[in-house]
Amino acid sequence: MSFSVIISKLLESFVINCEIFAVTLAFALPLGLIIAFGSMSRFKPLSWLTKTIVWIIRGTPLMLQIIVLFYGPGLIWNNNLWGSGYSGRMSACIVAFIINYACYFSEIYRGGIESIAKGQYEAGQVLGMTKTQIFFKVTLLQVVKRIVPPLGNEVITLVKDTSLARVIANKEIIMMAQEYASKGLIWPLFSTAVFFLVAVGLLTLLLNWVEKKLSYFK
Amino acid sequence: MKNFKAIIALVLVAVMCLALFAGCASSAPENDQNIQENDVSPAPEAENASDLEYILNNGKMVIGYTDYAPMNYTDENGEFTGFDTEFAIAVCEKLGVEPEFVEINWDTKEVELNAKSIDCIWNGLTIDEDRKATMSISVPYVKNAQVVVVKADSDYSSTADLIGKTVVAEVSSAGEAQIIGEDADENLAQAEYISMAKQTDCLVEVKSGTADAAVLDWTLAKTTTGEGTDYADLKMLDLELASEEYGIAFRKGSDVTEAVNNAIAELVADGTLPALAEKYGLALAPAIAG
Repeated sequence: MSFSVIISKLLESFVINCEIFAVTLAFALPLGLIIAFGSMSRFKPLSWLTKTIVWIIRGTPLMLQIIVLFYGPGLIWNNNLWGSGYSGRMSACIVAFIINYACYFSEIYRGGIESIAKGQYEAGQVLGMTKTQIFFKVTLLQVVKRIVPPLGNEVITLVKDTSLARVIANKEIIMMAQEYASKGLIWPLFSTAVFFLVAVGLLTLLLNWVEKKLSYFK
Repeated sequence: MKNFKAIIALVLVAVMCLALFAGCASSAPENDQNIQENDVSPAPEAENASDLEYILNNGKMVIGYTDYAPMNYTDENGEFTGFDTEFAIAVCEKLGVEPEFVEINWDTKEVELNAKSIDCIWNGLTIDEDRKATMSISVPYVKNAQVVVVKADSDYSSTADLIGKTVVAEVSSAGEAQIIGEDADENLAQAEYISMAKQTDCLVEVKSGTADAAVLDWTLAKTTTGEGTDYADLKMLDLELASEEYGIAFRKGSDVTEAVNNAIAELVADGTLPALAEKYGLALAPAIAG
């Protein structure tokens, strides 16, 4: 098999990694904010519930969550809600990623929101601003720039975590490369590093740029 | 100070580049082969580095396997057993070495073998031309066939019923060849195929309904599906797709293969191997059964 054929096959399967990455980010970023509000809620049952969920999701391996989410319904209730075929696998996997990453993001948001000095809320109240106004016009502006570095960390981890999709046989790049390895061709497996390095390199540049854009208080 | 930092950065970059290139060079397949051949399997005249001596010197043979009944598995009492397990122990006794069983990932078995983290793959390995080209394989010892496993309460009775359904098999297995290979079953070729890392994963897929059927080894299906087993709600379709034989794989050009072949012949002659086959409900390959 020629070099270019293998590289194009690897690239084709890397699209799956990119899909998981993009869809997970698109849904987990807003969902994380909702979860953050849940765990900061003054309505105790709600904050306990969200905190328990965050504990479970952060306390178990993502690999296990993917397996349980995909095989669980069929094995436990004899009702496979994902359907058979490729698309079911992909959706199950992405749902697991979204839930997992939303929980991590929620803690980053919470940290960011709680890091804003209480005096600023009080100052806002003195000036006669409503709670919503204070959140959007005072808090959020500062939160966004404070959470970029920790969010960037998670985003970069997500790029590499996408290879976990293989546990339920989504043919992402590592699984594809291991298929070559099982036929006795070893170099494709090592070359997958290049794909991840390039993706993370681009993201790092993007994150640096965002950080610079957001330094509006300097 | 600025200069100093720049110099350190340059040195670091240079070191990383070197490491990267060194990595690339040694992972290229041709070089790999060369290194292997120089390392472990020189011409028979150069006795000082033969693979057999390497194993004898170590006093042990490291056997790569995956958990796979009835070949290598843990029984109800928690003891590691199986046909291949007992077979390997008997052969190692003949060779005068200790067997050491190491569980591996089936899809990286060749990497393990070449990296010398294992000395052989002894786990119901189907003999085919590809594998003969990349590894040294023993005489065939057990006969096997590929079968289709479905849910017991399903209506499927032949492969024609599986057109357009989801079918799973282990990656680069003989079962996979029946679905996407050159001589694939014409009905299964029209199914949606999804490859799995292990044969036992295929059974989980069918049981949970995430796949409609699995193509796997008769030896596995016979002992793990049907009444009184973990997969009592699965059944085998009454058909055999392809018959094949199992062998033990060693590093390419290894002289251990011949020593093991001789040991197998002895074990057949003294009746040990036929007795083992009967114990596990397997059929010996014609080549050694005589």
